[in-house]
Amino acid sequence: MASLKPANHSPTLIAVSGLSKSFGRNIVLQDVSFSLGRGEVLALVGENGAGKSTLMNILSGNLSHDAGDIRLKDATYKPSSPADAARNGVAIAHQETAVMPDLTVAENVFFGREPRNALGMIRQRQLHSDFTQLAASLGFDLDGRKLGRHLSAAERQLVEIAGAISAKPDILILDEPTASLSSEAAHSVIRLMEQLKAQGTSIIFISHRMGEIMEAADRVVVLKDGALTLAAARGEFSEDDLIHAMVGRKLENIFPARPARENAPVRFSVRGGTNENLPEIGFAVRRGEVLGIAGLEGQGQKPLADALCGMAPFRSGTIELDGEALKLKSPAAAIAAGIASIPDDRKHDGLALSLPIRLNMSLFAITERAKGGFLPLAYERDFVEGARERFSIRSTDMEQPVGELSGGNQQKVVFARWLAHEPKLLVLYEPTKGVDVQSKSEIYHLVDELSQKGVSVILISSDLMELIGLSDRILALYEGRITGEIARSEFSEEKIMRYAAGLPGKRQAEGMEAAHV
Amino acid sequence: MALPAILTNAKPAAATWRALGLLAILLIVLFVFSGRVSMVQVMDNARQAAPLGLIALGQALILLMGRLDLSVGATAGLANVVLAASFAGNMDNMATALAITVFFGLLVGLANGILVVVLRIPAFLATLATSLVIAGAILVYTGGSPGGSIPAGFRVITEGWLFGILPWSVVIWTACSLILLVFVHYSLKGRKMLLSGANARAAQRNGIAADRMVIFSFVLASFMATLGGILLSSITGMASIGIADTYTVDSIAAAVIGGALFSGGVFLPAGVAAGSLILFFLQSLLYVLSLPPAARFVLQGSIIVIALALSNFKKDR
Amino acid sequence: MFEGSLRSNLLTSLPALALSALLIILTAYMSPNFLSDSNLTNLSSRLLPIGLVALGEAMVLFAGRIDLSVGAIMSLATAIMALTSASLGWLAIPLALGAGLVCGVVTACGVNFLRINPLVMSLATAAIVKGVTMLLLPSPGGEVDYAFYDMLFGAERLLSAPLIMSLIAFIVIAVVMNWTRLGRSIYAFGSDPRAAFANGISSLKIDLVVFGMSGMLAAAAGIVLSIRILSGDPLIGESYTLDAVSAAILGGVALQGGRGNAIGVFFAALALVLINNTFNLLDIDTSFQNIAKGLIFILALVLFMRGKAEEH
Repeated sequence: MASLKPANHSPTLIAVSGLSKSFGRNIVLQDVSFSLGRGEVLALVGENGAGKSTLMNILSGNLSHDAGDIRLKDATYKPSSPADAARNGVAIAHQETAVMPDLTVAENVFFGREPRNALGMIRQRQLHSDFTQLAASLGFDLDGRKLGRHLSAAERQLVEIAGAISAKPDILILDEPTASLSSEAAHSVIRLMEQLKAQGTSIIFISHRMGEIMEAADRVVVLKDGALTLAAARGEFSEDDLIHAMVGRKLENIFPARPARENAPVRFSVRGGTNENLPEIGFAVRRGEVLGIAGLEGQGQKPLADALCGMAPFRSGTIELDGEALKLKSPAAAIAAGIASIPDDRKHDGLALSLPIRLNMSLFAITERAKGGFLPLAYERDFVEGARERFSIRSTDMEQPVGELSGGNQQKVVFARWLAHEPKLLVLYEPTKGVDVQSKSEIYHLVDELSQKGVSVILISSDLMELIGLSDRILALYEGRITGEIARSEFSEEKIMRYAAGLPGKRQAEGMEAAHV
Repeated sequence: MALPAILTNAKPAAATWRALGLLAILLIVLFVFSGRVSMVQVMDNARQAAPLGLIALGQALILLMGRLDLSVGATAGLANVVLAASFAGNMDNMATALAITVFFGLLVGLANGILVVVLRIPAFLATLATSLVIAGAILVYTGGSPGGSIPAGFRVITEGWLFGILPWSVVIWTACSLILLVFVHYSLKGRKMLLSGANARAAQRNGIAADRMVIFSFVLASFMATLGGILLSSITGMASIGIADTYTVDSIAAAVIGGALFSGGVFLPAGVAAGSLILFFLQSLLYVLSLPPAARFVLQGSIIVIALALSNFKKDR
Repeated sequence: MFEGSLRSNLLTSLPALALSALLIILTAYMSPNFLSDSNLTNLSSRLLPIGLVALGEAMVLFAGRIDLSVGAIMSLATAIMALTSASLGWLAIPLALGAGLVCGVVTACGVNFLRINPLVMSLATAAIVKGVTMLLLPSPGGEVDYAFYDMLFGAERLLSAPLIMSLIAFIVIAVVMNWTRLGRSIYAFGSDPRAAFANGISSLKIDLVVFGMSGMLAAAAGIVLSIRILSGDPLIGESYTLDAVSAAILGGVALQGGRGNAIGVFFAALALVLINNTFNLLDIDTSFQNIAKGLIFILALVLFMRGKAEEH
C-alpha cells in the first residue's frame, strides 16, 4: 500500500495549548499542547489511562477543560456539547461501544441529523436511502436495517466511523478505529483516511498498532499519565521512540527475563471445548508455562475466560488438570480445583468497590480458617497486612474502600486474594487494563514468580507488548477457535496480527496436546 | 487505629455517628418543647418505636443485598391479623399462635426470594405484587372485619418493663440488632452476604452462592417484619386491616437515615435503630406541634430525599 | 412508514394485542351484555384513566427509569379538581395538570441532580404528594361540576369521547416516540445511557421530559377519575401505580429501557380493563380481585420480563 504523503506545510487548523483537566484530585491531563494542519493525520498514542480519551472527549464536546486554550480556525474553541462541536466541524467516531443497541444501523449513523418533514417527523425512507448511498461511497458492507444489538464488534466500529464521516467534518476524530478490525478491514480504514485527507479533512486517530501509526501518521502526540511526552512529525520518530515515550522506560526493565521451559509436562488441557459462544477450542498448558492468547476484540476471549473460571461452562469436551478429568460447572468448582482467575473488568467482576481492602482481599484466606462459622479476625488482619506489604499496595490503611485506590493497586488486591493458597492454574484476562506502568511491572514479575513455582498461566490479552514480553508461547484466537501457534523464538507483532485475522496458521497446539495424552 | 481486630468490625461507621448525632439533637429539641427531661419518657417512646425498629432491620438486610422489599408493611399486617385470629384472646394458644404467625411470615419471605432469584423479577416489583396478594388474602380471610384478640398476658412484651427501667420490647429490639450485627459482621455466612450485596457478580465469580444469599435475606427480612407485626399487635391488642401499611416506606426511610445505601453492601444496625427512633420522634414532634397527620407523609418523603442526597453528595467528594 | 427499529418495536405489541382480542371474544361469548352500548361506554370510560397513566409510565420505562409516584399524582389531581372546579371552572384542569408536571419535575431533579435511584426518588415523591393531597382533602369529598361529566361520559355510544381521547393520546405519543428526534433520543437513552451520552444526549432533558410527561398524564388520568366519581379521593390513585407498571410490561415494554411501544401499552391497558370487566361479569368478590391482580402481575412479569432479560 502506498504510504501517505507528508503534509508538513499545510496551514494550522487547530492548535491546543496548555490543556489541563482533572476529576476531583485526579489530574488526567496536564499542560498538553500540539497543533494540527489542514489535511494532516495525527496519531494520538499512549497506554490505557494516559488521558487520550479525555483529550478526545474535550475536543468533541463531551467534556470541558479546566485550563488552557484551543484555537480552531483562528478562533477560540470551547464546545459546550457534541452538537456544538459538530457545528464547528469536529466529529468523533467513538469506540464501537457507543453504538446504540436498540436503534438500527442507519438511525445510529445519522443520529441527531435525521432528515425530517415539515412537522418535524423523521423521514424513515429518506434516512435509509441516505444511508445506502453513504455506505456505498465508503465501501462499507452494512445492512442499514439491522439493530445495533445484532452487530459484530467490527460492524459496530464501521457504524461509528460512518456516522462521524457523514457529518462531513473538518476534523475527524477516530477513537481506536482499528482495534476490533482484522488487518484487512483495518487497511481499508487506513485507505479511507487517505481519501479523506486528500479531500482536506484533518484526522486525529488513536491507535495501539505501531505498524499503522508509522504508516499513516503525519504527526504523533504521545501521552503518558496525562502529560505530553513526545510530539513529532513524520520522519522524526521511530517505533522505539514511541514505546519509550509511552512507557517511560525501556521494555527490558518492565518484563522479567524468563528462561524457556519447553520440556515441562502438560498441566492443564482442554479438548473439544464448546458452548454457545465457543465453536470448538483445544489447547494445553505446560507446568510453569505462560501461554499467551492473542486476538482481535470479540473473538471469543471473554467466553473462553468465562468457561475457564466456571462462569459460563463448556457444554462438551474434556478438561484435564494434572492428569485428572475435571468439570468446571461453576466458579466454586473451578476454585476448588485450584484454578484462579483475574477478570478483565475488575470493577464489575472482581471487586466490591465500596468495601474495604480487607474484606475484598481476605475471602479465600478466612474461608479455610473460619471456626464454627465465625471469622478468624486476627488472622485476617495479619494476612491482609502481610499481602499489603508484599504487593506494596498504596493505601491509607486496610480499611480504605477499594474504590478509592488507583487501577494498579486495585488489580493488586484482586491478585492478593488468590494468594491464600497457591493455584495450579492462573487465568489472566487483560490483567493490566488501566494499570500504571509501575504496577504493571510488579504484576508481570509476580506472574513470573508464580510460574517459576510451577503455576501454569493462561494470559488472554489484547496488549501485544505484554503478550510478547511475558508469554512462552502464543496462540491466536479467531471466531472462537485457535487459528495458530507461535513459538517464543518467532514472536513478532506482525505474525500475531496475521494469525489473529484468521489467516491459516500451523495448528501445533493440538499436535502437542496429542503427543502428551 | 490500634483497635483490637475483634472490634474493627463493630466500629460504628460515619453514617451511624451522624444518625446518632441527629437523634441527640432531636431529643434535646423534644425536651425543650415538652419542658422536662425524663429517661422514662424516652424509653416509652423507644418502646413504641420497637415495631418499626424491627421491620427496618429487616429492610436494612434487604438493602444490604442491594434490593428493596415493598412487602414488609403487608407482612407485618399479616402477622397482626394471623396472630390475633390464632390467639383468639386465650393465652393457652400462645405456642400455636406464634408458630402459625411465624410460619406465614417465613412463607412470604420464601415467596419473595423465589420470585426474585428463580423467576428473576426485580425485587421491588415482586414484593409489590406479593404485598397486593397479601392484602387481598387478608380481605378474603377476614371479610373486611378481622377477628380475635391478643390476650393481656401476652401484651407484657410491650407493656412490661424489665426492672422497671427497660421495656421488654426494647430488650427484644436490642437483642435482635445485636444478633444480626454479630451474624453479618462476625460470621462467614454474613461476610459472604456483605460481599454479594456489594457486588453480586464479583461474589459469584469468587464462588459465593449469591442467589442463595438473596433468598435467605428475604426470608430473614420477612421474619423481622413478622416480629415487628407481633410487637405491634401486642401494643394494639387487636387485629385491624392495613395497620402496618405505612411501615414499608417508614422502614426504608429509617434504614436510609441509618446509612443504608441502595447500592448494597452496608449493614449498620445501630444506624437503623437511630433512624427508626428519629422517625418516631419526628412524628411525635408533629403531634406535639399539632400538625395534621398527613404531614407525616411529607416528612417521610423529604427525609428519604435528604438522607440519600447527603450520602450521594458525600460520595462525590 | 414502518422502517428500521420501528418494526422490531411493533412486534413487542403482539402479545398484548392477542390477549385483548382473546378477552374480547371470551367476554362477548360469556355475556350477551358485553356489546351493549352502555357496557362499551363503561369500558371506554375505565380505559381512559388507566390508559393515560400507563402511557406515562411507559414513557418513563422507555428511558430505562421507573415512576412509582403516578398513583399518588392521580389522587392529588382528583383532590385539586374536587376543591377548585367549583370556583375556577375550566381552569381547574390546567391547574391539576400543572401540579402533575411539578411532581414529575421534582422526581426528575432528584434523579438527575441528587443522583437518587429513580425507584426510590419516585417513592419519596409519592409520599410527599400523598401528604400534600391529604392536607388538601383529608377524606373523600368535594365536588366536581356535573357539566364535566356530561361532556366526557354523556353520550353512550361506541365512539364515545373517552375512547376517542384514549386513541388520540396513544397515537400522539406513538408518533412522537417513533418519528421524532426526541422520541428516538428517549429510546436511545433507555437502551444504553453511556452510548447515548457519547452521542450527545442530555440525561437532564430526557429525565425532565419523561417524568414531566408521566406526571402530567397521571394528573390527566386523575382528572378523568374525578369527573367520573364527581368528587375527589385522596387514596383513589394508589392501586393505579401497579396497574400502570403492569400494563406497560404486559404491553411489551422492557424494564431495562429502550424497547416497547405505545401501541402495545394501549392493548395491555385494554386487556386489564377487560379482565376487571370479566371479574365483575363473573361476580367475583373484590377482595379476590386483588389477589388475582397480584397474580396476573407476577405472571406478566414472569412471561414478559424473563425472556427479555436473557436476550439482553
